Amino acid sequence: MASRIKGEAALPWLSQHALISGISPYVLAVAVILYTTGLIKLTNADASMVNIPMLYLLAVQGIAFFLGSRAAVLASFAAFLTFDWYFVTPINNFQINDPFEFIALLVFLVTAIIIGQLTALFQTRAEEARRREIAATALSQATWTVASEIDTNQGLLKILKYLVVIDAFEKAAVIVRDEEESFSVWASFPPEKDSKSIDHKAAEYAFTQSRRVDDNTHWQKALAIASDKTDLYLPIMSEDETLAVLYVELHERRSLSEEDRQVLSAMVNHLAVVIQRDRLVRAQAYSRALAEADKLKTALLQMVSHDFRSPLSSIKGSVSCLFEEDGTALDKETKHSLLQGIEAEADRLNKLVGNILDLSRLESGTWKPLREVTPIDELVSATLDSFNADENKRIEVKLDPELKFVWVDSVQMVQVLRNLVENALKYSDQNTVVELKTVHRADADILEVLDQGHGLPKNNEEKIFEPFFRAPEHRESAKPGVGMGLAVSRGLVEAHGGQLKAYNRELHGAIFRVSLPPPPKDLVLVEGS
Amino acid sequence: MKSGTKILVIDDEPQIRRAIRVGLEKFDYKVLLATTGEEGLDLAALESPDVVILDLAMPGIDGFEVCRQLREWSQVPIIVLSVRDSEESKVRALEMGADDYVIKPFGMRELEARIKAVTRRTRGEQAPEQSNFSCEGLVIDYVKRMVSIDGKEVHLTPKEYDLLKYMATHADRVLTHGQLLTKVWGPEFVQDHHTLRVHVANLRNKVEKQPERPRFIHTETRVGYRLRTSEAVPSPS
Repeated sequence: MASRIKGEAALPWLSQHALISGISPYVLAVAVILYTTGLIKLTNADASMVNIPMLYLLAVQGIAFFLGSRAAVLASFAAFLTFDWYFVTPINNFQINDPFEFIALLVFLVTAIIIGQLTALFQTRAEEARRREIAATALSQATWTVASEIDTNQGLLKILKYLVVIDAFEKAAVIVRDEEESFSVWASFPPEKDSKSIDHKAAEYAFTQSRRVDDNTHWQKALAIASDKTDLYLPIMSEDETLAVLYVELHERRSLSEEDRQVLSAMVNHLAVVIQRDRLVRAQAYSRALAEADKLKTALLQMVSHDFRSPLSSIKGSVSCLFEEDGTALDKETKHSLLQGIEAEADRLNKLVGNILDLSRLESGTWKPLREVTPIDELVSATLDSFNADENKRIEVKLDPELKFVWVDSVQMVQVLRNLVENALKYSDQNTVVELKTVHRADADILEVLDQGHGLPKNNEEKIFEPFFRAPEHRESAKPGVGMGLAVSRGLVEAHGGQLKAYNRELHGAIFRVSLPPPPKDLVLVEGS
Repeated sequence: MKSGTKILVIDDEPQIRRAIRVGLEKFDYKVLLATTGEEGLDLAALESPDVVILDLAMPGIDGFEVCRQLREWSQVPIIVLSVRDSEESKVRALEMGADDYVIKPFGMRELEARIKAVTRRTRGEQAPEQSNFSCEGLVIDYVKRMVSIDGKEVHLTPKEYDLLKYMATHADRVLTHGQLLTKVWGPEFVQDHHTLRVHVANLRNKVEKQPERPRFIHTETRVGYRLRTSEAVPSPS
């Protein structure tokens, strides 16, 4: 009630209406009374004396309803005077001869004031109830948003939207400080990219001092904000830290009611919860990534100790044998096989380093495939090129004539195929065939490598794609690790939006299947003119 | 023929220089060593080697710059030593005038095969304009613009013929996509890799017995193509 009398906040809704918002309600009230008087005169309603106070009371009630209590008081007096002037004998004179008439006029005045006040009070109560309902709805919606909205940006936007529903608020935005110490809008409603109306100094003050900049603060004056527009900057706090600043632009010619303030502080708390949760989620993701990286590092160290040291020790061993050649007189064949071993181990180390580099690049997500329309022949021939003549004899190529081009990063896809073919050659018998097959399907382009080896370890079909995995039967064997190659291959295929899966064949052997999404429709795949 | 072939090795790593020297001297090459780009350029001017083996990553003047300066006055074949995964730098070196590249780490057999190929090519270019190209059943008659495989004539479109001819006259040399497109189609088509790929695929279907195991036209992934006159030495991936 206090605020209703104190400020303009309690102005009933009609006075806010654009059409008449420029006109003072008092002038309007007097005008209505004069209009009523004119109407009475014109229609000769004053033929019966009883009509006059009734019509005036109706006018006062209307004024009270639409223009508020103070306008109604003024209207009551205006009606009293015009009544006296125009209709009480002597007419056109304020003089009253009949004391009964004087009493009647006074009773009329008191009745008008009381009716006016009651109507205005009713109207204010109704208005208050309406606003309370809006505020309650907005708050409950915001609470629901906090509880249900997972996406932070959406959550902030929705809360701001519910805040702006309340009459007093025109615009709202959440302002954050970025790494370069400058302030920018995170979310705003109505959504807008530029933040012209936001005063960065005020935002900075609210953020760094954790204090509100509102309608009472000297900041408003210091910042010389236009008198008909009031902006608020409220710090959004977690327990001991300012997370962001809520900026609110107030509706023209409105100041804050107690209720508005309560809603505002509830909304600030809701925003704080959303932002705080966002931080926690990020922190969790970060620590998960760290844990993942840590796991990788541990696995890498284990691998370095095994997969790096064993070729190194065989190189070292072979070299020392060759050094002692004079004493022990190695025959030519032994010498040759030692040297061959050294070369093979060096190649293996080189491949291992390449795989580690690829894997770390894939894990960090920095690598993007450089896709081009590539003839399948080119892909296959580049793959086969890296195998020697004996190995090539074991490789059988079956190309689907329907599949002429694929949309891939040729360098990386060749590496995938090399890894798969090499793997197949290594884990199947010397006299068996390894197939390299392509299939064109409507939903995917398939590249397959099929072998006739021992197949995949049972129940470990997926495990073989984990970095550093070795099937138990190969764990301590002399065969170099395969885990890296397959993990890298899968990573490369997935970066293409495709899938790499492994299956056991019905009889014996394994299938490694690369399925690539079909190239986009608008890509030119026609054969050249 | 081979003995007395002078090879200049420019690399800042002493271990690599030593390995290359020992390895090539076994094949009767005369090997000159330079530790920096500047020294390499001086030696090249002084000794006029038959082949230059050039490391790309060197302090001071790097391999690209050496390549560029060398090409201002010399046509000596250049083989670049490059690390894996740097197709861009391979293309750059080739387009600055290098003839071939070998990926580090490399085997001596592979390096020797590349040296042989580039020296053969140089000799071919120095010989008077040849009227045909012939290699293992593939015959190109430049005068009649006719191509045949094992005596059977193959019909090529004019562009396919131009492409094959350009590769044959630059046999055993890596030709980048850009070089082929500029020379066969024209400089305005330099970016049109897809056209080139389609033509090469069609050409392979016509001249190769097994297009997926090409005998002649080899793909240097994301770099370009090479027409091989001798069997390939598989390179470690």
